[in-house]
Amino acid sequence: MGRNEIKLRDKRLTPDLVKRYRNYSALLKKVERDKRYRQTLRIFIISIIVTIIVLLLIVVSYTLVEWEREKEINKGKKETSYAAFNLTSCIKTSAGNCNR
Amino acid sequence: MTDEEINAEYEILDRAKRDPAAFEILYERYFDRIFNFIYRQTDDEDLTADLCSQTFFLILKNIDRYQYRGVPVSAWFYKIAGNEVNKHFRKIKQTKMFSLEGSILRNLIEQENDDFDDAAIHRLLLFMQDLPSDMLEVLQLRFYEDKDFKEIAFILDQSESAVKMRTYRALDRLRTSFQLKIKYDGKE
Repeated sequence: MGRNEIKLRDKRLTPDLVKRYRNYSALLKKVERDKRYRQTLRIFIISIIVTIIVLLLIVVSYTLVEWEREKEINKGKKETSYAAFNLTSCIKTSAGNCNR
Repeated sequence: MTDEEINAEYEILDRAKRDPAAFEILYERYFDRIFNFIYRQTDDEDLTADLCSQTFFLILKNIDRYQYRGVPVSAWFYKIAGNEVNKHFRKIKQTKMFSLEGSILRNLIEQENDDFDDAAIHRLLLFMQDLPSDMLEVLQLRFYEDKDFKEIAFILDQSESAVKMRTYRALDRLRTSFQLKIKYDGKE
């Protein structure tokens, strides 16, 4: 609620004077340009989102494949070491009788 | 404005949602009024032209969101124009200005005696400078733009009763301070 600046003027805007600024075709062009810009921006944003989703899917699937592969390798290793352990224990006892 | 006229304008606006070229009728009809409305708050022709162009641009851009609320579509135009002016003054961090045509001001005031000359008008302006901005906005819309209370309430986003109260208070202040008789048609 501050003080306002108030001016008293004698000049009145005549329709002829205002007519200089009235241009509907220019306004329509501006609106069309803005519509195109917004559409392009929307497509750009959607394509970025799609790209991010695809990249995420690739990363996730790659990680899953790697994880599965590591699991397989670990499983294989475990089986090998278990077999080796059994074999070793058998050899050790074979000094006497191979008794499992 | 009659209900038929309000509905006819709304139909034009509705058509313009599908075909922006249809909006030209309303553009031609209201451009001058909106231009004058903005000019009274800026006193700068170039700035007014920019803000007016931006106002109509926003109207066309947001035309799909417009919903009929029982007031003429022009009230929505005034609302957008007022918001643009306020936004501009907030941006440049200046108080809003009111540039009033002397002829209209003199027409509004019925002289009760011959003492009410240019000096009195000057005193009146000084007095108006100290009125709250919202009161001046209401007075401007009421007496310069010839809007009814319902439209002013819509434009300023206030209740109709608040707008009426503000107008009567402002007029009372003017009457008591200046012993003025202000033309008032009592239109609601």
